[in-house]
Amino acid sequence: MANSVMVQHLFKLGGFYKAPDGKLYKVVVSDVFNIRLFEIADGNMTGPMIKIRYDDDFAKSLVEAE
Amino acid sequence: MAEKVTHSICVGGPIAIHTVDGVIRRVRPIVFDRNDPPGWVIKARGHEFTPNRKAQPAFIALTEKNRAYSYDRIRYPMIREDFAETPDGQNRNTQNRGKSGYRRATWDEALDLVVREVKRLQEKYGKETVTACTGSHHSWGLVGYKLSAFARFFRMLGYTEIKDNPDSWEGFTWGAPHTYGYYWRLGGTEAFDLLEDALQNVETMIMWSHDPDTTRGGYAGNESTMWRHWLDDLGVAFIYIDPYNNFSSVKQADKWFGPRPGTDAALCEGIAHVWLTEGTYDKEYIAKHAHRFDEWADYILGNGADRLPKTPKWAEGETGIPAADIKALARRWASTKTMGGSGLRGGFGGVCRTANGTEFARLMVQLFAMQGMGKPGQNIWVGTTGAPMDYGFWFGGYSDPLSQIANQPIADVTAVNSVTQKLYRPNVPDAILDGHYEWYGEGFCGGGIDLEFTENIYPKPGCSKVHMFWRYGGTFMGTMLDTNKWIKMYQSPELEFVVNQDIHFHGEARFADVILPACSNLERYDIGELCNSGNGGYQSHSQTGNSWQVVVFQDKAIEPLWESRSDYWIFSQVAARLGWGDKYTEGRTELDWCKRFWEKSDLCSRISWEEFTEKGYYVAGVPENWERHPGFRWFAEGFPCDTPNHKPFQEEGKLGTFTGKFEFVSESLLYWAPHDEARTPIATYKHSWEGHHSIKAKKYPFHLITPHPRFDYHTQHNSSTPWIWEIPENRRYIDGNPYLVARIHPKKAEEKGIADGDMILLFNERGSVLCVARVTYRVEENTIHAYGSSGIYNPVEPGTASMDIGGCVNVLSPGRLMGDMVPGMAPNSTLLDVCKYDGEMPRTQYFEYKLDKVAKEADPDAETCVEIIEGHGFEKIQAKVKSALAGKVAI
Repeated sequence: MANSVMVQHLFKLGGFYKAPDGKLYKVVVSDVFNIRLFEIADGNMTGPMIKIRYDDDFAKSLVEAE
Repeated sequence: MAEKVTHSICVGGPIAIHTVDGVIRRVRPIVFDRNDPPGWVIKARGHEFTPNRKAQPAFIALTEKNRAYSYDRIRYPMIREDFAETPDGQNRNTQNRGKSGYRRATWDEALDLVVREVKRLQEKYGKETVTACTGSHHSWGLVGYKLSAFARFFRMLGYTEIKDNPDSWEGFTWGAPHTYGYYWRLGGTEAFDLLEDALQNVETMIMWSHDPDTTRGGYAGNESTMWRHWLDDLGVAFIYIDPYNNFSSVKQADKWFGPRPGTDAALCEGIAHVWLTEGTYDKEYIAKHAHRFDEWADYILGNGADRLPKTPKWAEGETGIPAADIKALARRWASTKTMGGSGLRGGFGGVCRTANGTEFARLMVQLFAMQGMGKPGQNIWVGTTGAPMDYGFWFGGYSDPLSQIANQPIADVTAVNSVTQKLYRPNVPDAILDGHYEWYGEGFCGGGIDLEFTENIYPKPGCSKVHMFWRYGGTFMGTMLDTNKWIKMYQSPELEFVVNQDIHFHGEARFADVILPACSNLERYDIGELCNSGNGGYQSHSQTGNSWQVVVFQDKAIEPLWESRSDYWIFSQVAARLGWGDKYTEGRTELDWCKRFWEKSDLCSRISWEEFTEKGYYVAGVPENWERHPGFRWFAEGFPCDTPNHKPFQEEGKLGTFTGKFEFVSESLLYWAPHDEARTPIATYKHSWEGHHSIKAKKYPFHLITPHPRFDYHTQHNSSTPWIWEIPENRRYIDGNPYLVARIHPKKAEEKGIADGDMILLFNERGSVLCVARVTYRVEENTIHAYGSSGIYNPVEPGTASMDIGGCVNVLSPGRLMGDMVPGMAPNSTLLDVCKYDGEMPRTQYFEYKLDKVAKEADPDAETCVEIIEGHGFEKIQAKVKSALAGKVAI
């Protein structure tokens, strides 16, 4: 068996997540290798693509948004 | 003499272009320098394998110079000579489309006319009256691709979208998901890290209707050719199954089987019979992973409704392959670690494009399941994908919604089409001519298996019919079905206005009222990565078909030739005239858009924009100890999916079928289409509606197979690159016309009095094509082999369905789809007859006269098409380019 924890099982592709500072992010890539986000401002994707590992503190702080 | 080197990706691969004084002198592969990362190393069976340190384009990419300065470049905007801009759209001499000549127009004149017609038609009928369609991959690059510049324009305009069919691998899309899911990969399997698995474990490769040396190049260059040589060197046995002993086979096969076309599913059943009767399949795997296997086994063994055992002897009667050979094949497959398959990512085998294509694809999956698919050395894998890749590096591919200028985040505002009416590409002529068409399916159907069963009606209730067609790139005369009906469509007054936007004067351009000349890849800016369809698009991570992941800044090598312009410029100009130019461009030039792809991907964290554009490319290396996640291993070994193919049910180790298992009786078909005769719940071999059991076979005894071409990619090169005509296996240039080679077995050739090199006529009730005979034992006895996708369509009488001399064999294929509920095309279910052609050789003027006339009007000293084909005109073009650059004359 390969990885026991797989990123795609933790973050929903296309899902929205909120960071502690209130910023909203959309997950645009979520697979075994990557999670990638764009910040959402005024309903639009803005800024550069953000790449994080599932075990980063930042990733752990994300809460699924409605 | 100022020489500069720029880079680009063309159909066929990444290239470096040497330009001297504004003229392209040389095109070559990109060779990596010492600053580029080392290649991956695979250790297997005491050897180490690593790729050559260069990108490996296919030969067609290396002909880009010839293609750029081609004789059939559309040099100026043109308007059909007898086009009448009547206020009501009637009496426009539409019956003369294809016959009429053209006059040169200025860009303003042509664009103003297009805009007046768009406004008139949309005001009269509604937005849906405009439809538009692209060829497949007529150029490369994320800005210019059809899902970018084209899609952004038409979505903002509002139009009837034409849904593509998966014309290269139909059977897998419409069949395989009902056996193992993977609809999100359009029926294809996952090949992650299977190159290493194969090098370490495989003993036998089954290359079924698979010619990777031929069909892989246009999409992925020759990147994987070396891998298959490595397997050869390791002593892996290669078995090729194809009615044509294809170019990969003659080089590599330990054994070639040539089944009668359209009978491959019978061969699958014969193999299964051997395994079932001899007990040589993975019973434990099947017990755990298969659904309703016993019912299917009963059918194979003769205990089903038809009471017919599918013995090798029975299969021999259908396929023509001796029963002893079928047994030997089955035993070899069962007793060795075997990989193989057909029709996917590189194979694009014709067997998937027959009336039986879905059933073959499902049986293929079932056979690999019976041998433990996903275990080491046991998988669907055909030697063209699955190389190590840095999965941590993300750069967009062309079908990824994140990588299109039509969408956020590349664009500030996503373009949305306000029209919901649709058409279906293979049947556009039927819909236009009949005024009514119904079909099932949503084109590629990657969003869900249920999408295969959506019912569509044209015109959609409440919508108007289509009266304007904007064709963009390539020609469907050489890729769609029964293509003489496209002529009838173009000549119908139902189409009040037709625009064609292309680089070359392909077979379809000459049916337009207005022709807009686009420039080639080498004359504009773009950015792209070879073989990357997008990790969120079709068949994710297709870049594993490359040895190297190379992102290229597609620099402008030369200025647009003559009065051609980039597609983006053309769409921007029309949008501006329609009043929403700024919304379309968002104030960006093509170079600005290129930079957006850089800054919205990982590229910006790896290399600066300045360094990237200066160097021209970036190679993403593979970490030394890259993570391995072999395709399907998770399923075979029963843990949650660990490949980048995630679906929620895969967390539980399940497939994408209703039951999560290999369905030998398809529950999805029982649910949605239980009475479908073409695609039954149990996959079975069925007699083709146009095959050797048909009554029609008495009149037309030969099967035509028209595989994806060896000397072209779709319709892009053969028409425009006379260099390629010099290949004797491709075409023969006689009296100014390049005739296509068609292959026939010596026994049948003798019966027909045909000698090698004779002119022969392929014909049936749908049309006729004049070809050059190649008499060869490489073709199955009942088969005529002629490559499809001719960009040249050249009927002796222009604008009619008369004998074609351009090699456009798609005029012979049936217009019928695979089944009433299976909207796949089946050009390899074509019956025809052949005879030696003793008639007068056509001495007619070819289509070039139309181009010559316009060129001479613009410049009395212009070189003619024939002068360019034969080389004399090329130097004149070069001289004019140089003098234009010096500001002396306009070109």
